[in-house]
Amino acid sequence: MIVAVERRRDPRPDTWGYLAFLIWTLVLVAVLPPARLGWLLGSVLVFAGIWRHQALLILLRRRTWFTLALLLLLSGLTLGPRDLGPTWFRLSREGLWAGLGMILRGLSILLAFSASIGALSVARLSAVFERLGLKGLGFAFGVAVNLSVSLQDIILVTYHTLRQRGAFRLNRRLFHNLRPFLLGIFANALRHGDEVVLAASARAFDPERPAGSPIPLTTGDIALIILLLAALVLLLT
Amino acid sequence: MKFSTRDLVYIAIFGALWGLLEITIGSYLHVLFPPLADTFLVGVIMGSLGILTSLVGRRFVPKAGAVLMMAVIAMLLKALSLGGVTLGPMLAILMEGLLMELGLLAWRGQSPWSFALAGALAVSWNFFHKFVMMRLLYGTAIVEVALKMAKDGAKMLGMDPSAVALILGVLFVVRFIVGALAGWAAWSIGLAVAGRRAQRFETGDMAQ
Repeated sequence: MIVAVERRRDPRPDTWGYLAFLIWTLVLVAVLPPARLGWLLGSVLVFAGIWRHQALLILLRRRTWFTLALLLLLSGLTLGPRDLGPTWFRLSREGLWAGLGMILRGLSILLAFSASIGALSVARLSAVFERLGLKGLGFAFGVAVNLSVSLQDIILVTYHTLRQRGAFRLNRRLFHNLRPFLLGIFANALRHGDEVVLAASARAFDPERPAGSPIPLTTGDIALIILLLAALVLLLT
Repeated sequence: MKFSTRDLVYIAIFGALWGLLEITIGSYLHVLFPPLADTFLVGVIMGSLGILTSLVGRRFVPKAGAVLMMAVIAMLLKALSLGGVTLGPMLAILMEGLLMELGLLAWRGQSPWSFALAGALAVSWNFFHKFVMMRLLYGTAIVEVALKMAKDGAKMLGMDPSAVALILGVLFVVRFIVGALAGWAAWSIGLAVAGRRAQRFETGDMAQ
């Protein structure tokens, strides 16, 4: 594995810092006892608030809170003996505590992902793969992102073409008719791919040749990684 | 394993198709059947579709690691989608890719049987996925998940809920068979796509 690292004086964390933060959160979510999950969520909120406040926007979405409320209610209704509330709507104390734990874990992961992966551009993510020695994955990922819209068009055009011929009528031949649909999508997508290959060849693209500049390891990254390690020790002891 | 530019573009295409399936159909299904309430349907449907797509791609990039790369691309596309980052489907996609690679490595050479084995292994992950995710996200014990799975399975299969081991066994075997069928279908569709492309080459359509 080859990791090309270039040091840069910048107090803000960059790619390596964000990735370290994501791994840190996932590790703690898996190993931290429920009583300390509040600390984890607090840390994630502080991180997002300081370096990636856009990630906090998910807290303003109604869907987020609806899902969390549903989670709490379902846990209260399904886990443990119902020993709380009026007789016509009894909930389980044990279930509610379990639900609270689920919410803390879920929110921590959601925010950590939004704050870390959300901060990295497609180009930067591609570069990370290249630097980690995963040759070609960066290029393939870039192609996939750029082709997504064209592939969606291919799927839609194939669908409408076959629908107009009555291929998707609800009858016993529905499954049989799915085959030309899939065939159409795959064949057209590959044809589109051949055009990309021709374009890449015309530009003398070589997957073996290193691409792009190294990803800098900023002083902010180093400081953040040290801070995360210290916090990990504190939370686990 | 070294990949040519053509290999990488094909990997990108099939990875993107898998990712698009996850972003569109997967997101809809997760809204219709929330992960906490559903222990079977969404995973089996999405697993089968992903396997079908990536194994058709494997026919055109017959190299070790190709399916895993498609899975990584699908996973990243899912992460970058508007629906936001969802750990469950991302882990499932990655594990399915890994298990498909294992299945293809275990059976030397490309054949309908190797594709069926790869598909069966990959969809089987769906069974263990619930245990891993419930433990990771919600701290739920394995026994609780197994009981919930058995309760849902008993309702779906019309079996006695007390026969937990039998229900879980049936649910696992159903997943295994569905995966094998998806793998087999991928082989057949891949063959047809290759035939159609060969026809195009012969008629000179590719040059246009």
